[in-house]
Amino acid sequence: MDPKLMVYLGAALCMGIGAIGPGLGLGNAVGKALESIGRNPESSKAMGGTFFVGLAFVEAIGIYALVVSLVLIFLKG
Amino acid sequence: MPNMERLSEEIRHAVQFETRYPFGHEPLTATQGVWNSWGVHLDTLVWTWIAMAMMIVLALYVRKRIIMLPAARSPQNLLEMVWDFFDGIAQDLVGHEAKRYMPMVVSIFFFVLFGNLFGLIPIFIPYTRDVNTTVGLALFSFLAFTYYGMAKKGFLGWVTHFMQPVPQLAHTLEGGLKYVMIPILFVLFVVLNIIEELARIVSLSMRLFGNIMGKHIVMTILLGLTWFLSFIFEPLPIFVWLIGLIASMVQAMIFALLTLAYVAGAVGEHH
Repeated sequence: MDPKLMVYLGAALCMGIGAIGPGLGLGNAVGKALESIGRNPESSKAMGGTFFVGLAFVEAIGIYALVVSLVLIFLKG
Repeated sequence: MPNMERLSEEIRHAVQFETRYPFGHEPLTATQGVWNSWGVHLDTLVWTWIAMAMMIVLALYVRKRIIMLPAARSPQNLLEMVWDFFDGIAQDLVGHEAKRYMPMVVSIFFFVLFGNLFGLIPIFIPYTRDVNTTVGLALFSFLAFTYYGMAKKGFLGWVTHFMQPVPQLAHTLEGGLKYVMIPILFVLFVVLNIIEELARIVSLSMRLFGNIMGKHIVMTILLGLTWFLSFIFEPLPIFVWLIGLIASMVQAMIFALLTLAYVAGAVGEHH
């Protein structure tokens, strides 16, 4: 098989599989946050900053997958 | 897609050590070897200097006319807001010592913030989308928290924190098992702790680089679509720009906060 094809396939799989975990994590975090706001609407102000920082942390895991696929495509492809 | 060729050239440039000269100039022959062997990204370097100049000018401007009660929309108030935000967190993490680490943390915040925000302005080059900048920043952060840890605890105290949970675990073991398990646990935890410290460099730098590069790619693609979508929805670029603005600020905040947290972990009494 063409090695270039394998590299692109690897990059695509890396991004695709790597997006599953952060997707679940983001959904879980937002769901829990909405749940807690529903229970206690006053908590939404205090939660804002921590919530966004937490989202950025979860997102970072997907970003690592993006970096790996970028390196695969542009350095190995 | 109109900008795809340029975008892919830019990504290729950002992820590797390769010299590119601003304004298409060829370098002088005498410096060529040095530049190429070090792989200096001159565009990144120049924009870093521009950002530093802007930060120094801003700081001097605010310093010169510092007053007790700044107006609501003055630059001084903005800077104090940022300072208070980080100071509040630093007080929680390291207590009265916060003053010592605050200048470094806020400087890192503004350096990263300027780099990220440059990505939203045409012509300007966001130097944080270059992997060399982010790895450099992460190395600085690593050196900073290692230095502060050593300065606070002394060299011996700093070394012992690598074998951290073993002394506590040793008390729970009994009899002959002790002599077998402690060396194994010791080696295991020392290796784990060293990997943990070194992984911080990778995670810090790759998080920032990937976020800014990803934002850049998404913004380029969405703005490339603007021409087609503008019949349906005219102000699309503003929303794309807003997403970029939020991501830029959050990433700068996270980089500074993580540096602060690592410093706090290094100087804290119990790891």
